[in-house]
Amino acid sequence: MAPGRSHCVDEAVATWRRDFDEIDAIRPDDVHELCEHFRDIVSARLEDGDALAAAVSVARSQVGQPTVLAQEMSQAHRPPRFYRRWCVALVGYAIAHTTLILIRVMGLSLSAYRTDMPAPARAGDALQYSVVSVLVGVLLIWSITRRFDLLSAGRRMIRARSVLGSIGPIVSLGVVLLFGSIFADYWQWLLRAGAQTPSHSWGGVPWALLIGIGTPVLALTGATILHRWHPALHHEFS
Amino acid sequence: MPPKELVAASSRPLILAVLCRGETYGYALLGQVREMSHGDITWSDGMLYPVLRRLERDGLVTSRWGVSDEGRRRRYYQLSRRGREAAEEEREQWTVVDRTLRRAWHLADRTA
Repeated sequence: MAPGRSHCVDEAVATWRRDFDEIDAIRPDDVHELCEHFRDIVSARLEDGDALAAAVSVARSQVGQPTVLAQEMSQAHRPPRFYRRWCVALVGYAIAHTTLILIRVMGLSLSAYRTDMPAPARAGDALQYSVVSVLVGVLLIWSITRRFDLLSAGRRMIRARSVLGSIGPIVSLGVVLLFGSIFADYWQWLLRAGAQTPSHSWGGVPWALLIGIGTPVLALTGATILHRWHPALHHEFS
Repeated sequence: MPPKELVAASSRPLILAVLCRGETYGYALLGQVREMSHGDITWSDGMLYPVLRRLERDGLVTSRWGVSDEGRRRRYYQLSRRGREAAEEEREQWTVVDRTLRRAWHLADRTA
């Protein structure tokens, strides 16, 4: 391409690129790629004998409106539904779990638990609390997020069938339960520590937060590995 | 000309199929699709990139920044191992659809 014409193409691309300046949602690399595509179209049209204005006009209509493109690119960069649902479910679980532990640590137990109970009783109590909190937390949040999905118009039956026909949620729940039961050991440790500290003490709070947040983070990691590894889950949730 | 729903549904298998031939960049990829379909399938150029991002996000496609013959920065795409498997799956699924439709039309022609 002649240097003068190349300069004109540069100008046209720069003008088009300025349309993206006002849009924060699009990444610089994406803008660069789209601009290169725009440039390729303009160059090809010029090679075919079009005038610059006509070539630019064709490129604009072929590539599309910057605002629409930014929106599409932004959606494409969003994590898959699987991750979004998991994040919501696990944040809900973290809150529920941490709250339960805090209730216990602060001596505001809702059950007949007493710190002078023998160790095996406390361990059993802790395990029971872990399993119940995991089950209730995840099932509750999961079903809420499912319900929101089902509310999205038009695809209710398809989604309901895919839920029923899929082992995905069951397998994923199993991952959470696995991590929940592993952390039940830490529960026991926490309760033993709690027995040595006075009631209404804040001493166990950092541990409660650590366990409450650590469990879902590990569960998410496990579910992510599972999601990557198992193609059926991949199709189900993506 | 196929309706946009069909074009959208076929975008993923088409991109995977084109990338089976080797590494390429967006503009060239579109050109290949246009050429293979004899111009019957035309995508809005800008819509290609969100599809590529999703494929990349799902681990089916990888990309790298390189330099073109003209010395410009370009993003090149290629299939990952999982992408090759997905391309093969897509091929089998679309072949089943194609075969079924052909049979249905064949029977319809004989009946008519």
